[in-house]
Amino acid sequence: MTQANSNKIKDSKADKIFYAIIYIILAIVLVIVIYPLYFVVVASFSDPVYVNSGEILLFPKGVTFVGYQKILEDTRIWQGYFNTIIYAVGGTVFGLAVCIPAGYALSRKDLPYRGVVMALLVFTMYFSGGLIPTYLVVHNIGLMGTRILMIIMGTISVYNIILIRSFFSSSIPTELQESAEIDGCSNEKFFTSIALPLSKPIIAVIALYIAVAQWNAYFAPMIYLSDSSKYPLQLVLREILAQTNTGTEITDPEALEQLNTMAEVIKYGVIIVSSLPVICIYPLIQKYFVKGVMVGALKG
Amino acid sequence: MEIAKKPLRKKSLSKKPKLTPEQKAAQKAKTKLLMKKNWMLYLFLLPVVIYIFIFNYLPLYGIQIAFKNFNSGLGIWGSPWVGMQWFEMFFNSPRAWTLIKNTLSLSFFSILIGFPIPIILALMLNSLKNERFKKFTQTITYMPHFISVVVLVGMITAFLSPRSGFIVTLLEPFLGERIYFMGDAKYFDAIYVLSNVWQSAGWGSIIYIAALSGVSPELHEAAIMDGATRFKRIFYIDLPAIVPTIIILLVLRCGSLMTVGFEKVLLLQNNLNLAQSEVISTYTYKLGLLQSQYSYSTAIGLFNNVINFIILILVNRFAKKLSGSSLW
Amino acid sequence: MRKMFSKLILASVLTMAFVGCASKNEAVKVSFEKTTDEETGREMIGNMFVTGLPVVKEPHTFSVLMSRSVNDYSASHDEKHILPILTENTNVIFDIEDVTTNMNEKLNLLFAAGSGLPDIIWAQPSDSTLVNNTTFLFEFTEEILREYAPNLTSQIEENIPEGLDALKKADGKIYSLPTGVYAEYANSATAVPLIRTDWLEKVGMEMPTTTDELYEVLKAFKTQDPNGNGKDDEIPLAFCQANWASKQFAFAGPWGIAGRNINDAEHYCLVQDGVVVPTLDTQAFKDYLLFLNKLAKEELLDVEGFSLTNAQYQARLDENVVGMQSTWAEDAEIWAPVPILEAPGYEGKGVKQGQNGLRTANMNGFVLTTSCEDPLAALRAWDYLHSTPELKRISRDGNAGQLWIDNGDGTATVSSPETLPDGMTSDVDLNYTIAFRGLGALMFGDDTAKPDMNAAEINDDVLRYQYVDFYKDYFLDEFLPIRPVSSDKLTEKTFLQTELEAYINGFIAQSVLNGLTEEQWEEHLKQLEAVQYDAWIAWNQDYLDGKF
Repeated sequence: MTQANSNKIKDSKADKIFYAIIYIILAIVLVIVIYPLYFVVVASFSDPVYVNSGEILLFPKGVTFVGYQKILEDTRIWQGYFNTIIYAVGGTVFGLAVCIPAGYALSRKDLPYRGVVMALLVFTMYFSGGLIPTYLVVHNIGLMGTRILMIIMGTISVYNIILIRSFFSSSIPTELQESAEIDGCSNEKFFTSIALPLSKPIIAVIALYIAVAQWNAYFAPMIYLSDSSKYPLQLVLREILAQTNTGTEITDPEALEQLNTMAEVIKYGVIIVSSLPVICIYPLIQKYFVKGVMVGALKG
Repeated sequence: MEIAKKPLRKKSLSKKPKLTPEQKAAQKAKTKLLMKKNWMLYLFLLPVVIYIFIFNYLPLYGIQIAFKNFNSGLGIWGSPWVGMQWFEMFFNSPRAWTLIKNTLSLSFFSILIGFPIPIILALMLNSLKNERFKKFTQTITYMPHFISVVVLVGMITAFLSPRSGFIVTLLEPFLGERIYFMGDAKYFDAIYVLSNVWQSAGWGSIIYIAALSGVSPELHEAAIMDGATRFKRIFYIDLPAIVPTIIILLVLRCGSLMTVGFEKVLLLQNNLNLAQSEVISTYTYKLGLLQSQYSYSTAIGLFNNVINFIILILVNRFAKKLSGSSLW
Repeated sequence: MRKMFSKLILASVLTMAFVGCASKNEAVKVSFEKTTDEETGREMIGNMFVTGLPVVKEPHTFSVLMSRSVNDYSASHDEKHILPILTENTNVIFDIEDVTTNMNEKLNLLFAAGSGLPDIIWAQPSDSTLVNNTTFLFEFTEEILREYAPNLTSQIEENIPEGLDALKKADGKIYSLPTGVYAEYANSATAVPLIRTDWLEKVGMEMPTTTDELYEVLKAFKTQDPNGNGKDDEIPLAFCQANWASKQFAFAGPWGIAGRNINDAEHYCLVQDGVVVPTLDTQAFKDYLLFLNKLAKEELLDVEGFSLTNAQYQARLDENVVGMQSTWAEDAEIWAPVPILEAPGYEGKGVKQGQNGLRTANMNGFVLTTSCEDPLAALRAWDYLHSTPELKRISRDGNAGQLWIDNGDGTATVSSPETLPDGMTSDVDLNYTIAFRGLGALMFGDDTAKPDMNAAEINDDVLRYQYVDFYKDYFLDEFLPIRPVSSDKLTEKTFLQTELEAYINGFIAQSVLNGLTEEQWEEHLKQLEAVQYDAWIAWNQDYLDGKF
């Protein structure tokens, strides 16, 4: 009843053509995607002069590891890594724990006023009070500058809840829930023992979304943290790259010129250093996208 | 099942106005019963509701900045009211309509090209039989998501430089000349949208791949017995399985029609493509944040979101009628 | 159900009110009541001695918010040479917390929350950040400054014609004290047009003196392969809108168009005999654009300058393909400043962007907030840094012997250490690591160390002095003043200028790239009306006339 079985059936001629076309298209896609990625890697240990002059096409030129050295010798990086992992793991656990049950509840058609709740949630995707009042709220509830805030801030997103809700409502038939109810199965029991096991793919996706968002977050930490030992990686990297050139009045031209060259040396390496760990998560997530997870349950 | 749902829903909708007092009472009783029975589900919702209330609804009073002349010394409540002044200012600007037009064109083009491609990619990947190639392709197409906008734009300008860019060199035999793509407003939308597709098609396809994993292999086996080709099975089995997800995402995407992230546009902007590349978000960024015009940028943001919200409601209603899937 | 909802709404309204009326900081009441210290017999206010050192009797720590430079390699600010000296002599301790990015945003939020404010803001906040939050700032009245900052006050009155008025914001009050060099001579002409002298030799031509000669030189650069690599890869004239010192307006001098600095908007008008004169609708502006277009058509000008990132532009310069550019400073062996060129029809009208005595100080450098418990002591400590030129130099450049040498006659000379500490790449890094540079004490004239003009090795410091000497007679005499205006007036100008800039940037780029016909020029004049160029000029005229 699995992939292996269907593979035994011989492909028809039409299928063969179909697969050939798909492979060709995907091969082209791969080339298009891989080249710039390859470029980033090569550029990360090439002399920025060659990178910017367009002289690098396939092979690195003026090989230098100054960029990596500059990044890795900075002790703040490691502290940043540590913090980011805390925020990403904590945020993912917290976000999933809150969003998955909520998404499930909202998917239940027999829940009165779920439309009202939904509308209230969607409303916040469009209307917000802005930075200053949010800052004041955070200030007043006493979470300013705490790690807890970094874990919970931004990990609950209405967008994700909508995705979860739509997954539940399209993949768990109402009949299944109704029959379970007749059998005397309570809501929480049904959720934990039937709905959750069936929703591994969406849990995996949402976990990925939250983890990546937390991994890349820099704005909230920048605004709400003042203690640099709590800075996540991205904020540390931003400080190292520091695009300070914002004012119109130039006060220190020498420093400005030097900063620009510095930023060039490290900006490609920074991408590799900062995103390698998250890139590695993906294959772990992929294994939850296995086909046929629902079959048994549906028949039962 | 989908088909059965549709007329049912319609009936309940059209029934609403004609309720007799008894029916009303009966319905009320039923609602009460359901609420009582499903109390646990409300408990499931409670954390989200508390969170959203604290972090989204409590600060909402900040919207009044749009109708005030905000001064941080006076605070939000203490700043003087100016009515619709900021909105009038925006619409009196000679460029207001160009900005709206540019925003819509960029956004529309993004949806037209950027929305279907992740779906197609997911369907193609899903139909592959070689698991290793499939996982490899998925991982590779996912990676560009992690490239920062600054670096991405740096690569775009370098690859498109008429002097040394390799894309220009590749296209030269076909176009007959070395075109200065970044120097011509007419290429701006294409550069923006296509680079977006490059960066986020793989990332965007993840949700569809997850949804496709819910498709029962038995359906495919049965179809194969009936002699359906793989191509046909995509249309009759895979696609219908992800239609609800597609619709929800499309509704949400349409609800951000007036919003174009400013960072990338700003970095891609130059004096030569300004006619096409100045969008509402970059304009308010320049005025609002750089020059501390908080009220003005809040007002423009509010205007954008009101339009967005209206579009969302309309599209959602349309989607509900057409397919039964909707946000609420 | 309805009841529940109305309760919910009521609750939220109440909470909103609670959130909105966030407890604002209670401003600290400053006492001026003088007492006499029993031990020493010195006059005191609270913990502070009214005159002399130390400034405070019991050590007092002030919390300071500072914008940290990325060039700063110090592990903590204790490495700054001036701070131990300050503490030892005044008993005042500056406890510094750094902000690296988005200083203004952070400050605005701190003010909005109304708590957690530092005692001192030692940074470079924008005028609007200060002006909008004056309720949280300590006001330095003239009396206070005269009594508690006598060194600073007398120096300002000696060296600045407007005296203390120069420090006033639009409401006529003083909230901030300046830091850095008041008028750095080397900075008076920011962008310098430079040409490759070795290339001139190769093509056998003289330094051009007119724009026509420049055209011929650039043409020779293009056709005669002066870099000798056998390839037609020369870029005779390069510019880059993304580089602060290489914008195209740097080349508009021969047509009489120049600004105080290189910012585009500086070139939108001139001041002549107290009248603001528009430039964007003049024949001179048109002729300048036509000249650039002529160069662009023959590929003598790199039109990619409109879209290049700064890094890509720098890479081109490093490729040894550029013949002429505008920049801050470049290797004097091969790059020489181009004299003021004569454009046909504009003889004797050539000018150079720059200003004699250009103000370079950071006017918002040192600010006290209302949560500072002893503002007078903080002010006296700050004034202590201005008591001798040596202390000023230490605050700016660190102890003598590294980045400067005392000449023994009250002057100092710039020096450069033989080797730099690990990891640093320039003197600028060292400077920010051991001292505060632009955030140091306010300096005038001989307070600043001067480069050694007779040194064997010509470094950038010397070069900059040479450039300014070379051009200073061609600077314009009249400019719009630099003076704070009320936020309403600023808003008015911001809107006008944003529209104008957006239009003009596009117009210039299109004209340079594609040419400019009579019809297009007529259309341009109409467009100027549409974007209210006249209103922008009028605003500046009123500003010049001191109407607001």
